[in-house]
Amino acid sequence: MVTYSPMRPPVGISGVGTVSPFGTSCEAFRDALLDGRTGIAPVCAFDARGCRTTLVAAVGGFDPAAFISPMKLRRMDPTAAYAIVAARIAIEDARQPLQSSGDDSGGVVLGTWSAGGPMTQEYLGALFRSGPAGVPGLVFNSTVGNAAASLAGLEFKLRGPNTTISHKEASGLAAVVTAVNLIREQRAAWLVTGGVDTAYEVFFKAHDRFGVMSPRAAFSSGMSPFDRNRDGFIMGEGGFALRIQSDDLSRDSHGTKYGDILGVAASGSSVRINAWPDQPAPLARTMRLALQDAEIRPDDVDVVYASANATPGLDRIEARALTELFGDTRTIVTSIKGAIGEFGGSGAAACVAALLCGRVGRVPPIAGFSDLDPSMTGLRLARESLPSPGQIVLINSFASGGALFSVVLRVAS
Amino acid sequence: MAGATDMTDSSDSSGSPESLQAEIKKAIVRSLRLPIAPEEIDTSTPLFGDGLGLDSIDVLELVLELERGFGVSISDEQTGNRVLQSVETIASFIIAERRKNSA
Repeated sequence: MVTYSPMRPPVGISGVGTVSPFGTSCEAFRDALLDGRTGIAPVCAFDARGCRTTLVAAVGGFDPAAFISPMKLRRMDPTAAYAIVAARIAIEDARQPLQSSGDDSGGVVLGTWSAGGPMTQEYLGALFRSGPAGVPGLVFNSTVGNAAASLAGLEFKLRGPNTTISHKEASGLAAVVTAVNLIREQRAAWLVTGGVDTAYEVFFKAHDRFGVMSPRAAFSSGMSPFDRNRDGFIMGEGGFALRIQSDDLSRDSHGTKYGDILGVAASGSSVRINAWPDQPAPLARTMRLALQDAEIRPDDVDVVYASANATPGLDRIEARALTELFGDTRTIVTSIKGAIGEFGGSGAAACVAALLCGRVGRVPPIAGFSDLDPSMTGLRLARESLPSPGQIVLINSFASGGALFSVVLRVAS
Repeated sequence: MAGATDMTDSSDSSGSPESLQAEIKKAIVRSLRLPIAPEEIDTSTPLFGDGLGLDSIDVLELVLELERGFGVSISDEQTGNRVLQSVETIASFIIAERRKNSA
């Protein structure tokens, strides 16, 4: 148990929201993770015949019209719809009603990798077919990279900081790190932060050509993170939001519902463009920086939500870094990417998962895990749903290209 | 999510004001992806505000659609304010422009 008396006040977490393969219910998301279920299934949204990879972890059970007016939806990218719905669920979860006039002290900081790609694909398709006069100007606004955060800010009349962060797979956790720093600097009293992405056709097929995704025809045992037979990630999508707030606000509202963010770190690894980190030291350094920021030690950490996504190299390197900090200790290591795949919202999804599962005292298993990679025997991996040994959780999100982020949470008891 | 814009020519063939109005309604619904059927638009319904609820982004697309589909040009804001009030005013403008061009 950590006796926590930090130099800097923690940042409270007052609400969470999800748009996932398991729908828009946070409880459904949590239960699916704890049951070891997966959202990975054959691609339905477009024709993936001829592709090396034909699996995706697509959003399911999602009706945006239940949350967003049809007049707004008609020119909205799915990425923005995921953002607005996840943000709305997080804001309503916090039970701190918005003023109808909006709020100057609240803002939006979102991470996205795909950004407005679906609308860009449509826009360029019309350009190629019909020339400049034929493009649907109506959707142009949704092609820009910051559309999701911007439209979420407009939807809720939040006039504080509105920022979009893009660091590929780590975009969502990069946004959380940025948002925490904005709260600490008192640039905003509260923020909606997290990550959103859409697994759209061009994006999927570009990754398919790189051959970085698993070629299996169906979700199967052994394709999970850290498994010895892993053979690449599966692309995911969705929206995952956290409503975070300053310590002053947390005291006014009698504490925060989910817990606190104690420490954050952003770092880098010098690798080739698009390559995964290939040395453990920068990853270990990023984790240590987050722990230092939280003023705790590695042996205070109860659970790690790893960045591992079933990519052979990334998982091996992260396992070596984790072993350096947590090898042969009580710390449990899990990864939710066997359930939701890899995408720009996955780090934020891990934060939400840690809070939801932690509140019921559990750690989710690594979905699809079968045989341990023999090089990772020093880690206590979650082969099945386990009782959580404590409240301190470390979240990692490491991007291809070398952007590295870690966050330390304390889950409310 | 909505699919690609249908670029079908919106020009009416019968030439009656009613069929022109019907074509305009179809063009508005299609190009602006409105979540309603063309027949639900009354010819006198205001396009903006409490009517159809269109906004400035819609204006840009609507002007382009009228140029593409009906061969009329709305070249300045003053003309736009006068013409883009309702299906009725758009139809009157198209008829007047066609008369002017055929004179």
